[in-house]
Amino acid sequence: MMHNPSKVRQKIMKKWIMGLRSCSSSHENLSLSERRWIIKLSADLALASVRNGSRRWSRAIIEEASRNPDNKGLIQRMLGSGCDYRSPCLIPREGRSDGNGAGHVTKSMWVATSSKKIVKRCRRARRSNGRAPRRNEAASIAKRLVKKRTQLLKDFVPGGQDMDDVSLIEETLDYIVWLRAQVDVMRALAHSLPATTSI
Amino acid sequence: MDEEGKIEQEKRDEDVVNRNSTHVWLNVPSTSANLVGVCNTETICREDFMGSGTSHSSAPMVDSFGRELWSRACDPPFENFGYCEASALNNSNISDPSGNRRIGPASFRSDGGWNPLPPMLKGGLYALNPPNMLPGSFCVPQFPTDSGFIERAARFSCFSGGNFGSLVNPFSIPENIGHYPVGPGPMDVFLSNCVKLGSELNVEAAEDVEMASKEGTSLGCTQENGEKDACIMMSRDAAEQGVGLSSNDSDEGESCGNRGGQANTPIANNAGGEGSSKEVGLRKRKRNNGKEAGGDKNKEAQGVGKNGGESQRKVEHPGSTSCKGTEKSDKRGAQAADPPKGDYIHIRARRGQATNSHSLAERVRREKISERMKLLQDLVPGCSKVTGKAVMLDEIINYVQSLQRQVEFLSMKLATVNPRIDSNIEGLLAKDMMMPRAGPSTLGFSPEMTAAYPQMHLLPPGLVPPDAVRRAIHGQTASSLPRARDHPQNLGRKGMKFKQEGKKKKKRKKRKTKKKKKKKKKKEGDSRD
Repeated sequence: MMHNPSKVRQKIMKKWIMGLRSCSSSHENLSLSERRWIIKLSADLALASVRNGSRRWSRAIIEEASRNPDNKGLIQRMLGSGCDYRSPCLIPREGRSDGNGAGHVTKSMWVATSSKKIVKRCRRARRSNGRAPRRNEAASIAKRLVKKRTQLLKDFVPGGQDMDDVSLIEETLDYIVWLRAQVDVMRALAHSLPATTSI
Repeated sequence: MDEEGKIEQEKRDEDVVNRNSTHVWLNVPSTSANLVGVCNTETICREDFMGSGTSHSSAPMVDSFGRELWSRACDPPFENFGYCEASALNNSNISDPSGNRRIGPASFRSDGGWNPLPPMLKGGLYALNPPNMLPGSFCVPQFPTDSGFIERAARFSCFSGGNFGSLVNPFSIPENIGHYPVGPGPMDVFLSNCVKLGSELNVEAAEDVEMASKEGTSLGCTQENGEKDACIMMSRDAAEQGVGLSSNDSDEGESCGNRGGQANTPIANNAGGEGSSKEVGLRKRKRNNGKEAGGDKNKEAQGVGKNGGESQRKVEHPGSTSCKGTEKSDKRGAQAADPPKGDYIHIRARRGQATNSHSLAERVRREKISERMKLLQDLVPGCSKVTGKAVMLDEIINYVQSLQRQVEFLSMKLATVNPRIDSNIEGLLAKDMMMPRAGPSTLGFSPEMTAAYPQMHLLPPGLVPPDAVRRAIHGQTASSLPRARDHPQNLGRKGMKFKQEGKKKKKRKKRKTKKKKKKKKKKEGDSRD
């Protein structure tokens, strides 16, 4: 996963600051919330770009960000000019086993998962018709809980909506690790800067 | 357990001891506290064995084992200890040829799976020796925490933690992750436990134990109590598997490292080892899966504890009741015992299980999920004793949420810092490359320190004034770094403050940040609206 955490963090830091610089040069007077938004966005993008699109969550972050037309400039600057979020420039450099491009994965995975859901629903309906009173209340309750939480997790992990459980957990794993790196980088920056407030 | 009990055992097992004529030793200071501690060890050992449903014949083994642990004080070479232990456990195997496989720590396969053991034991006991050499009273160790602690240390950076999750239950010892034995006392006990528990690991994990204990050794050998703390911290860090470290732990670990100058290098090595070992552990785990698929039972002769052994046997003897029970609990969904690892290549339908291809696939899928959950368990702090999907997912969600909130808060904080974002960047880049201490929460900190320096040349020359770089390298305070614009007056003070803050403040800050960010979020939400 993270081969060299310090290098990774430095990469994230560099990209982030690069993005900040490019952004602040264009916008002079920003409100607090805007500044915050830019900082967070560029941090996320830095993280995603360092991850190099080999993970769904990184691609999802970039896709989400690029949906907002205001961010396009920033994205282009950070990820390299002439790189559209839909284009295969986000194809993973690290060899992932699925090795899909950005846009293709979404659609195919979505189709796969939605078809799975349909099949499951049919099966469940068929089964429940002939079933006697529930023998195992605890199991069903547990399953329900698990499902609820899986859904919650899908909300939190970017790009997790159209994923099956197994890959969701993998993505979460990866996401947690890299999110921690991002937090470290941001904290390092925050600590090194003087804490002057200017509002 | 008190000394009287110990004396009774001595008399009872004298013949056993005589049989085991190896030179046993343990450098045990003759403080009662320590004996009590060790007695506790032994007692709980026996309870484990009993609890697992073994016959009383295992008790003498335990007694002799435990007795030999503390019978001799200050005896020479520690190598023999390994043999003694091996022999003691061999005795147990001999006395229980039927193989009470439900014995927790003693669940060794009787088909000669001992060969890999002594080296590991040696390694573990090499670590055991130096701490024992040091004089001083040992505090009474908390065994439950030790066992869990050791278990975690044993599965340091090795993602065959799947088997460790199952280890927790057979012991049925309440773990308390928050409790870490601080101080030199528990060192010997927990390393001995490490040895004990380590013997259950498969070979790869055993190597990791050796590594961990060697690390402990290298750290413990250098100095005395201060270093011991570092050692324990390191082991703790190791136990948390590097990546699993929360910033709190890593902070303390780092502070320990700073305390003991000599410890830095071994810590650096170890931390670096930790850093890469997670990957290695992952790879090892995957290899382990392949191995299991290959059905190499002899290699994994040491078993992986109860469940590991069960999984092997399940493929061979699908008729065992334990497997059936597991299957039933498996069906329930959120169960306590984790299902055994699936065999990717060759899947066999177990007894009482439908041989439908769908259910087979279901089972494989479930096992995959549980594997990954175990990985996550290691990653998310405070989750190693949690079993069951729902609770685990809950913890994971909370953790992800908290991380995301931290990011938001930090971005908020940075937004308030300076209106001109780019004005500080020149100095920042220099400073932050030189300040790896600020972000040590993942995967060790010392590698950063060493790695940061070579990175300087990569910075574009225009960005960073060379003076600033030079000064930053020499650890100047923030005030000396030239800033293009905007020199806040309190810069120097704050810079010093931040540098000298130390990790405790950061910890406190982290706790505060979580509260603050919620408030700030609300504020910001109001301001936006």
